[in-house]
Amino acid sequence: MVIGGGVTGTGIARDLTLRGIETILVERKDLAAGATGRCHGLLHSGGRYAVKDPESARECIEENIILKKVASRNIEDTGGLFVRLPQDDRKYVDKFVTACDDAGIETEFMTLSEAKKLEPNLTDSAEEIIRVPDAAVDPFGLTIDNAADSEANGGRIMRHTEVVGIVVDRGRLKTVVVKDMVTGETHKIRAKFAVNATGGWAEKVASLSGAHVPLSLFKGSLLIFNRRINNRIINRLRPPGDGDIIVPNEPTTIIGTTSIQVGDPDDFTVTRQEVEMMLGEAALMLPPSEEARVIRAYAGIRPLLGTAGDSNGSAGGRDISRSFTVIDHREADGIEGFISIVGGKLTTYRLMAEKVVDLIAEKLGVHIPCTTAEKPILGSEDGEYYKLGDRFDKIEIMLKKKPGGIEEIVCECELVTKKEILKVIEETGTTDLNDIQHRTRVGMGSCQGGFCTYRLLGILHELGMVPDYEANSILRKFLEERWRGIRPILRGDQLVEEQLMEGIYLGLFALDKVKEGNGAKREEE
Amino acid sequence: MNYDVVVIGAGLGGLMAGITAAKEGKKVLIVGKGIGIITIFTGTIDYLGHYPPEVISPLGSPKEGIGELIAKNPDHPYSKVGMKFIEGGVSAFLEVASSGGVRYVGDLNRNFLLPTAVGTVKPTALLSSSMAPGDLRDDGDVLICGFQGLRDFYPSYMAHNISTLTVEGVELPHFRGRTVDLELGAESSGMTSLTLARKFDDPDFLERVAQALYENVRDGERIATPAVLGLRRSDEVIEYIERVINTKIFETPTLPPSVSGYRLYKALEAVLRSLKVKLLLGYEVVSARTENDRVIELTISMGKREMVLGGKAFVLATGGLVGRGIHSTETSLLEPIFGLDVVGPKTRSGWFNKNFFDPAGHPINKVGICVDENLIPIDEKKKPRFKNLFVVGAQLCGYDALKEKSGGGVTISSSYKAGVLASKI
Repeated sequence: MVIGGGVTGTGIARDLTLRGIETILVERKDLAAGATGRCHGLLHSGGRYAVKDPESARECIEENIILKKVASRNIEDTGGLFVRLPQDDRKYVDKFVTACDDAGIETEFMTLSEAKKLEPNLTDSAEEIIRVPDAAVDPFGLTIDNAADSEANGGRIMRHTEVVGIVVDRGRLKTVVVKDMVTGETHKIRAKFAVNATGGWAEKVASLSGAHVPLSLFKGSLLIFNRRINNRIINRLRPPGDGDIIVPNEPTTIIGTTSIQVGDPDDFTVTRQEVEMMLGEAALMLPPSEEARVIRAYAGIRPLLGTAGDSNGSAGGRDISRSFTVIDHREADGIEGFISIVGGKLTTYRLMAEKVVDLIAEKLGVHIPCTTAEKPILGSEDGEYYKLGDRFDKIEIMLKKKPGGIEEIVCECELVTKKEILKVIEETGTTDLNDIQHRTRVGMGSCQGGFCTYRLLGILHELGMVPDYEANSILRKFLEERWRGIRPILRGDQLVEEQLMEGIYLGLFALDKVKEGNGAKREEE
Repeated sequence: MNYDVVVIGAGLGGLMAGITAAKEGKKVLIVGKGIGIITIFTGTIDYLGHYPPEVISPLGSPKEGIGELIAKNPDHPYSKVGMKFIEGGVSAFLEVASSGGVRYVGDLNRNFLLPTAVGTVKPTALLSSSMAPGDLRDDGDVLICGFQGLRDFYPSYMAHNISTLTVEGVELPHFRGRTVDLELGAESSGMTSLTLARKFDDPDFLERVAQALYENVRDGERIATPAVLGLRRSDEVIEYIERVINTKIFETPTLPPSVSGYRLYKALEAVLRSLKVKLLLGYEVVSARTENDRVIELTISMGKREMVLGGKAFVLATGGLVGRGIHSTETSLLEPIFGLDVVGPKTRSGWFNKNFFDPAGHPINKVGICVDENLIPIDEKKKPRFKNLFVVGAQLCGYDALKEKSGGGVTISSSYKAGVLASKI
């Protein structure tokens, strides 16, 4: 049994099923709802860690090469640049190149004019530019494909199912108690092994069994711009710091991150100070970002094993290794059958899964070797990378096929069609707005769901998939959640757009004047 | 070119101020970058829907509420305008709308209680006659009819939510939802309200709609539709349908673009034409020449074309943040044409509350320009900045239109008064 539907958990589930081990995965929310869906979407070359954390760097480049083969459809092979600005230490460049060589990361120096041909928005003050094999990766797609692959091989995936108890009997895992988050019912699931792949929640989940996982949690905040400013990953050529990676993502650009120690893995608040700092840093490498519209701020939790060297967080936990650890709770806490996987990163999720499954396979006496480094994940068999515009091509195909020629567009910002939404609903049975959003990009563009969320609820309601009296309560909850992401970034044009949205939801729809009994009461309960 | 009154801004406030001054016999010019938010929102004129603003229950009588508000809150725009001009504005607006070809009904004594497209209640004072039979207190159950292909209206969603409402002292009628398929073909899937409304120009289409509605309605029911019953001449469209269905039909506004707002704009535009008011759209004010406490002239431009406009009096009706009459930067709020003082929290840390639905509303929604009782902008020491400049509508400070549901009312009242006073200069 795998606990956690992030990229690590689904990666483990896939590896287990490929080795013929009967598998079930439970996830409290939707797939990729935790740090997986709240990260940069960067497939590291390893360059960032080469100088300080060579082990992580080596893991990154090996996995980078593997994933480009086996998960191609979720990867846009953008390449990446490391850029040194005048204020950055010149001596770091040699260290960087040497460390990259040692780790097996290919580097290539470029002149400013060569680089500007590729990235016209790059600052003229860049003094050194080094090309590396970074890439952009869609963490939602990668996770969903891993889960689908596991299901295709007989695995079970249960979303919206929370682990509420872990029963240990005479030093052995016996059952896991789960709660269906939709119906509220609880069930017991018997499993020989349970893997705790819950990221920032690993400590909480482990404690249900009495086991201990000492974690330091670091919040990493990110900002999304409404357009692409760069087509390659742009990294600052200096020791890792805040706001120094800019990643193109679909038609948007993501800049991050910060690293601030927090106590609670559900603490996602992004502060205005973080926003200002990151905007300032981004403008140093890509001056046009200063004028670009920020459409949302969000944060994910990096769970790192151990306690931070500097508890004031001034190093932001960046001195803790980004490598990962498999904890066999038989050795650590005397609980056979319970394993936790902590640390690591999106780029190395496959390797993490392999190590966990190796341990379980050994304990079960299964001798089938790991094949995930060679066998493409469901959907990536043709080895073709994702290209910006692929999704729009598909819409165009639908347009041509349809008699009369028009496909109903529900979300204008991201051009998501009603058909795509209905397909997701049919395939997953979900009624959760976030689930649909992650699978289609509905509501992820400039207006952040201002227009299409009402349509989405209307469509769900027509399908009989919204409890009659909760549509407005769902809408209100969505708007509150949306507010959390946009409040830190509102100003200028984005503030104008937000005022328009308030005009719709408060003026036109009067959703602020909802009385008890019309959803509001349920919400309070 | 010289005018008696130059109005900056061509939204609801600018047009109303211009029309008012023209009716006083003045030579008027209106210059606007665009037509404001008039075609974005409902076209209903809300005077005061809730008072105090955080109250959830709708207010029965806007007049009583406004009276109480004036007594308690001297900084509210209604207090600056005064009851006499507020009432004068209501009559003036009703007359203007009707002479422009859209019939508005209502008064300040009683709010209509309208169902919204998400099944909540919206109190409003003046509204198009096409919406009036929707009052929740009226007799007759309601069949909500949507049209297949229109993506911005969901009848069952609306009906189900209304069935959960409780409104004090009102026994609500029963609502049911139904989507009618007019077999418009694939090219009509994903229509906006505007596209659908245009089709009503075709008599065959109108007949088909009327027939479909007739087949679905039951005895004793009224019919609600989204606000799409004709881009123009909605009175005729409704009259025709009502003859066929033998019962009342009313419109419910939904997501922008707003057909009801568009009709109102067209009506005001027609009145402007009949009064020979010059309307310049697409122009931006690039600078204003002032001398001491008077505005002398404006320089406006469209692309490379520039023009200078002189006037005896000026009305500033460029809107709030959404109309771009007020700009925001990281640390400031400013009025870009005259550099008037914008009153409100200076830095963005004070602009927003933690929750979107905070009952108190967000402080940013109350920012604006402070004026005296003649709607003349004043500085921090309450000294008039320009004695021949009047500020109206969403640009005024000290009220939260979204929480009070007072946006249209404040705009009509203040622009009517500004039009009258500007004519006296």
